Amino acid sequence: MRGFFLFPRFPGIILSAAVYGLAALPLPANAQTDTLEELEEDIHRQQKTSEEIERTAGESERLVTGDQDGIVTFADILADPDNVDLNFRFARQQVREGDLKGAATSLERILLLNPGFDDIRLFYAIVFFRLDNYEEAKQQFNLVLSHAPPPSLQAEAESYLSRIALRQKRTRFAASLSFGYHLDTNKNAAPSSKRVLVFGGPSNVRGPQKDTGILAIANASFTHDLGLQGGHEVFGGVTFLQDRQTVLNNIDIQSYTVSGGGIYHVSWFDVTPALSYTQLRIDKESYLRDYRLRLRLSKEFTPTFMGYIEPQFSHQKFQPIAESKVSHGRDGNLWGINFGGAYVISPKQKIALDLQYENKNAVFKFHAYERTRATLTHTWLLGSGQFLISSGTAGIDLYNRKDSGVSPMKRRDETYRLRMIYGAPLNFFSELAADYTLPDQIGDIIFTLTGERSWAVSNLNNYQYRNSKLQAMLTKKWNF
Amino acid sequence: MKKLFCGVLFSLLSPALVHAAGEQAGVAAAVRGEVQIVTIADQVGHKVTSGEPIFLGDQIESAEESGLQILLMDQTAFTIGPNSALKIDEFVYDPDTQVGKVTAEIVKGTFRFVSGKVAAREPERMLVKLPSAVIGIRGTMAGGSLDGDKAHVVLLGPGTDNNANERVGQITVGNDAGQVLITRTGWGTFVGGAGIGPTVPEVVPLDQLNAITGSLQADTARKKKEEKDKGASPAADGNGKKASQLSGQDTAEAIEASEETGTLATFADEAGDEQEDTVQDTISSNADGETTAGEFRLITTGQYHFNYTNSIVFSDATNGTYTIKFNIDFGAQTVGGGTSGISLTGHPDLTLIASQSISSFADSDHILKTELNQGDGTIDNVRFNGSDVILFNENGVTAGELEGKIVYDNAGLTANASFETSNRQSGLAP
Repeated sequence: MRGFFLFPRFPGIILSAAVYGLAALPLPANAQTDTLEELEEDIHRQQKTSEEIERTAGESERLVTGDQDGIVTFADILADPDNVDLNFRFARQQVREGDLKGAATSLERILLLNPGFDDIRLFYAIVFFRLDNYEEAKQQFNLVLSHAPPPSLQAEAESYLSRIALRQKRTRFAASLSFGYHLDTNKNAAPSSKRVLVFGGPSNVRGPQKDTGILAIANASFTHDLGLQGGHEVFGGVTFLQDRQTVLNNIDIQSYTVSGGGIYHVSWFDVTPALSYTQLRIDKESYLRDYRLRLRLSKEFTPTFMGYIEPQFSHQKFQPIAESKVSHGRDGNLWGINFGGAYVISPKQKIALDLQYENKNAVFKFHAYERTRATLTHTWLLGSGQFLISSGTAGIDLYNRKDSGVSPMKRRDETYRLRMIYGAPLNFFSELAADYTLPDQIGDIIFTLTGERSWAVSNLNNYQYRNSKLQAMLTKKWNF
Repeated sequence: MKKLFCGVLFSLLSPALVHAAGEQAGVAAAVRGEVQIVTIADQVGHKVTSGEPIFLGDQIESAEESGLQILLMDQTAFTIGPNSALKIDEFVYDPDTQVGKVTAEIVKGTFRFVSGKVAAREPERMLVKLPSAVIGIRGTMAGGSLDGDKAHVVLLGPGTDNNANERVGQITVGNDAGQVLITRTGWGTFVGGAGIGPTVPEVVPLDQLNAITGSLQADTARKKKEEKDKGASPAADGNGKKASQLSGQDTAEAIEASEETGTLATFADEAGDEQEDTVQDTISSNADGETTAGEFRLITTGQYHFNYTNSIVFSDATNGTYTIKFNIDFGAQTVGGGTSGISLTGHPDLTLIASQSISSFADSDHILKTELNQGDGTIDNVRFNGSDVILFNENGVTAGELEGKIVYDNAGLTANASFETSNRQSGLAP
């Protein structure tokens, strides 16, 4: 990453050397004049040249030093509050530190004295945009546009105005489409020992099977602002998922989920009740119908720490299919509770801990279980739209009864999953590789690359497995 | 705390400026046009310049087309527009603990403020007095305008959609006649005068909002723009960075993308968990129902047999028994063969059931579902033609049950029986 910063500095160093070299040259002899008027003109020209050299040299210095200038303290600002450079550096530093409100005041100081700095005004407007102060942001974007700015500034301002127009709509719609390709080393979740228990005795089975597959996810959703001061909203959405295997077609899955609910902001919590219905199909046969109610209570304790608790209840109805003719034995209710929190370590890093407890009942008691899981997730924003999500999940599933068809022992599984997801918009790659900015409609497509290792340790060999997964996916989102 | 302030003060300001009776609260910044300061000490106004200290009790007053920003030591910033006046009544701040108190008084005109460290730590410790009401702060940006003792106040953020981890802004506006809480950016209230309570918060009309914030702009305050900007914009050399990059928006945008990616991963995980349960069922415990060749192929070792005897009645009313033996060899992937067959007592007779390889079946085919027939070689005794043997999964065990029927016809002497047995035993039939 460091190279990305070094490269653009070279032109600055070269420019700086050239400018200083130019300044050292004597003025040409023919610059000398006889008349007073010409002399004044010459003096004026020389002064202008000197100013230009000074200014350019200053710019070059800034190019060279960039963000590596020393830390600007608030005391520096108090000592020289109208210093444009100082305020600009302080504003950038405040942005990096996540103090957007402070950055707004620093940029305002520059603009109060230099209202023609359209690039600073654009910066200022985006700070308002980030603070969800859309009216002031709009005012500033429109001021930029009224000054007939260069095309790049104009395009950026117009782009944000469009986004504000979308965000200020009471009813907002969003849709997304994802396509991915994945490789699993053990898609059939088979024990690597190739042995399973049948009536307590070992039998050999076919071992892990590698397979590739194509994943498609489509989502459409809406939110409607009820127009109240509390900002209460209702929302709804539909999600479709299809995962088609190349070889193991018998476990192709399709899943449809319809959900809806509301967000009610009260003084202590945000309350989010939601209902959802999911139908899961395996190899085109309807397998599971899940009717679920969730009630999420979340609270932002500080600007950097959020906590939540989410009880849920679900009724699950399974249907026999070719791959699982006794799946109705899994029918039953599930209740559970999720809780956890997220802590913002810095403006670019967040860590979250999610804990889950589920109690599943089932017609066949050997399918009933208690599940406890913990997931630790670290999200790292790498700049230019890139992100890296690293997560680790560990859980224990305790089954209520023995399955005499398998073993006289009750099943106990420990499950683990380690996952890393790297993501970035396509624009990042095109700019990196060819210094080319893609059109917005393509440039904002998110590419993700996922690496995953999951394994289960069970007291019954049947449920012991390891799987590694690699997945590449493209996601396009539309807001309207 | 005084020592702390003095430390800052002496390092920043010339001794000549440290003259006022009150404590220094901040400095004047971005002064444009005519701005006067009336100090407690001399009660006579003098023109303010940027960098000049502001002391407690000083009243700062702007003329037409003028304005400034007042920076307090805790980074609270007040901006006032033309024909406006402000006074800092109370300011206490300990930079080490960030504890303190800020009380400012807007006397007239338009204003905006961004709260600083004091309000960030203890929001209730910052108050902004208006002629007819008081604004209480809960970590926020707000603005307003005064017309005599009438006041419009509007909350300017940060809003709930802010992507900067800023605390969502809230203010209270109140007086003896009542108090309202404003929690949403762009919403505000109106106070009609002393003794009149603030109105119920509502969305501030756009023209009114723009009038407040627009009057604070230099473009508006300095209509003639007789002064040129001082030098080049420092953003012009921002390492070629666009404003989206400078503002961190390009980084913050990844928050949404990462959260959506996480949601998609969770959705796929939930579907994948069910898929995994199903495939493990298939391997270890097939469902009840007719065994398919595909299920049979998943098991690659083990030899088993069924050996089942029951009574049968012949058509001449004599009683006898039948015995069915049937081999399963997962290793060889065959069924039948060896001593597999049907035998009768009463009218003794026997047919052997030939060995059949599973390889000839498709995954979805049910094993031996078709009738046994001497003509196709599945049995060697034509008198048992029409009998059948079907393997079933039971209690999740592949081929754990044998069902079928016996059809016997020996020149008019007939017998029929149906059977069902789950008495599978290890090894091949003796």
